[in-house]
Amino acid sequence: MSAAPQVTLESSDGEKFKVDKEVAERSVLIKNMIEDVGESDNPIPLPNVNASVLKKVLEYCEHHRGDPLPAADADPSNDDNRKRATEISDWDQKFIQVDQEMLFEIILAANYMDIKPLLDVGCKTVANMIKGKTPEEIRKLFNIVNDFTPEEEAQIKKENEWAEDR
Amino acid sequence: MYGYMFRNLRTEQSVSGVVADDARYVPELLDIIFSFLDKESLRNAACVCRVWHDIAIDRIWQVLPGLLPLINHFWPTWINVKNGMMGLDDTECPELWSRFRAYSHRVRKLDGGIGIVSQAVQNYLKTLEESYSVETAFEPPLPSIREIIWETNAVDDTMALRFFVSPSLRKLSIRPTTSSSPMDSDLLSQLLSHVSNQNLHLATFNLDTKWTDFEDEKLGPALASFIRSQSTLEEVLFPKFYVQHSIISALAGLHRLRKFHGVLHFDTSPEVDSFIADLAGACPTLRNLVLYITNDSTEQHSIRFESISPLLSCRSLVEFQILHGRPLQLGAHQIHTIGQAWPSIATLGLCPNVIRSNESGLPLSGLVNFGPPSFPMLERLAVFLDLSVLPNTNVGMALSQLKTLCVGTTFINGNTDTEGLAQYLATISSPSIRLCNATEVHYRKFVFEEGGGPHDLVGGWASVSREMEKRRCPVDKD
Repeated sequence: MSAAPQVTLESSDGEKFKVDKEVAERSVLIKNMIEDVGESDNPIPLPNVNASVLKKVLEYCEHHRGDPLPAADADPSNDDNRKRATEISDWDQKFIQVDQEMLFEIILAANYMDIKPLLDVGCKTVANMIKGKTPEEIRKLFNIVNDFTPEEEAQIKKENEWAEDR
Repeated sequence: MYGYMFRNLRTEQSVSGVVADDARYVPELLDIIFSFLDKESLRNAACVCRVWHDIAIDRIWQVLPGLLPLINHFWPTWINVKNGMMGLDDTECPELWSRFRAYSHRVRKLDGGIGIVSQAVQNYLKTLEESYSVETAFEPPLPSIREIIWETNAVDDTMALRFFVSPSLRKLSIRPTTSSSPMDSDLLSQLLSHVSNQNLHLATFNLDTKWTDFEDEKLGPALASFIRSQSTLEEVLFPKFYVQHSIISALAGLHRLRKFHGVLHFDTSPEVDSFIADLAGACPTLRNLVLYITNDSTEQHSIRFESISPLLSCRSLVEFQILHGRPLQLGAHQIHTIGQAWPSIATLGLCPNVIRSNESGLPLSGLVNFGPPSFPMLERLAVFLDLSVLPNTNVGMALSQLKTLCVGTTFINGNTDTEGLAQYLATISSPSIRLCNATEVHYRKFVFEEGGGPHDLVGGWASVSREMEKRRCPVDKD
């Protein structure tokens, strides 16, 4: 029995990762690249992902290698599929317990590499961090500068009120 | 484009220290993050910074709980601006006008209709009415709307719906406000004929009324001709409306129809039979079918297997629910035939809506017939069971594909071996089997709905449930 086919990925800082093709293909980007280029021994470059993030992303792909792929024909305007599962599984929860910088790096990498389930896990985690916090608390948490003028801020608060339910 | 009121400002006054690919400011990522937020959190997110505001406000305004928020906010200003005259004018107050436009363009879903009919609302509708009757090219106030759930009491605001349907509309539901007087058949007919002239591409039409609302014979032809005018319909839902032959023949013209809910109302079962046969002929590619069968006489006729057998030709059925006063009696062979005919069936509801103490249900051991190989895809099953006799065999493994099992029964009383029963039911190893006593089953609150709470109506049932809880591994609270 021959070994499972493998591919090599190269991070932005030049580190090479040899992984099973099946694991790498959790990334739709890589899957498409392999399909376009065909089997090759050349490493696949990922210029937007550094080694520490790529390692983390591959850890996720390895754990979820057998999962069914998300339906390709899902209507992107339909958020229901997404909302239905706001829960994060135990393993994913542990996996995503990283510092904030890494969390956002993972989100960016998942977006770039087109790994939708991982993107969702990351985004849900950020959403959970936002929930129940005031604007000022959110700014502090994510180190965001308030760039509204006082007049704008007052206007927004007012406009927010009329979106309230009856 | 309207929208994004602060976006222009942002280019002049760039957000300090922001790297190009900082996930905190990438609109497409923020949009995904915000899709997991509730409204309250979205409001807070909108106050954080300009980039966040634009994305969050889009999400907030996508679903409008009725028109009232929009009108309430703008109306006082309109009156001031135009010196007591009605309307918002793009020459007199361009800034306010563009804000109004920006918000109204964001709305994708309107859920609630007009709301309280205040003076402001009436004035607003009058403005719309005027421009609707005068202008040849009437501009819908919510041009990006995809779904309307129009709550109406028919007197003041039914016809106002015609202002809000725009070519982008895909789903239309009409339902009465809870406190309403009955809806008016003539008025609704008139509205439907208006809407059908507007060149829509509706996918869903739902007339979600109360039982007593209509003179069905009067409204029937209007509904039939409305359906004929909407060839793109995929879902036709009349959960409380008595379907007539004219409606069924109109359904035959819908090539994309996959979901139908309706009520059949007859006193004798031959008529039901001919109706179901017509329906099967008209909609051969139906995927979801829910039928409620009712009649006036206290003596309810049974629905026989022969009554539903024409539907066996609808090979694509994924969901079939039939609700009737008397249980549908099925033998093992007939159950097998159903499974063969509907290879994709995932939801099967065969529970009567009311259970009388003298009815006999399917023996518990008969459940095994709903497992593979006859029903490989079945996930949700509602069935009327006789729980008075515990079988010797274990059906649990055979039903391991089930996610929900709803059991209608009257056979639990003080004499029932509740512990034995609970022990038995717990062997059905599906993760989220729900048990209901079907005396509480109503249409639209079908047994599959969460919560329920009929368990404690029958004392014995409550103890079965308690036993089940004890035996079950910790289950997800869904």
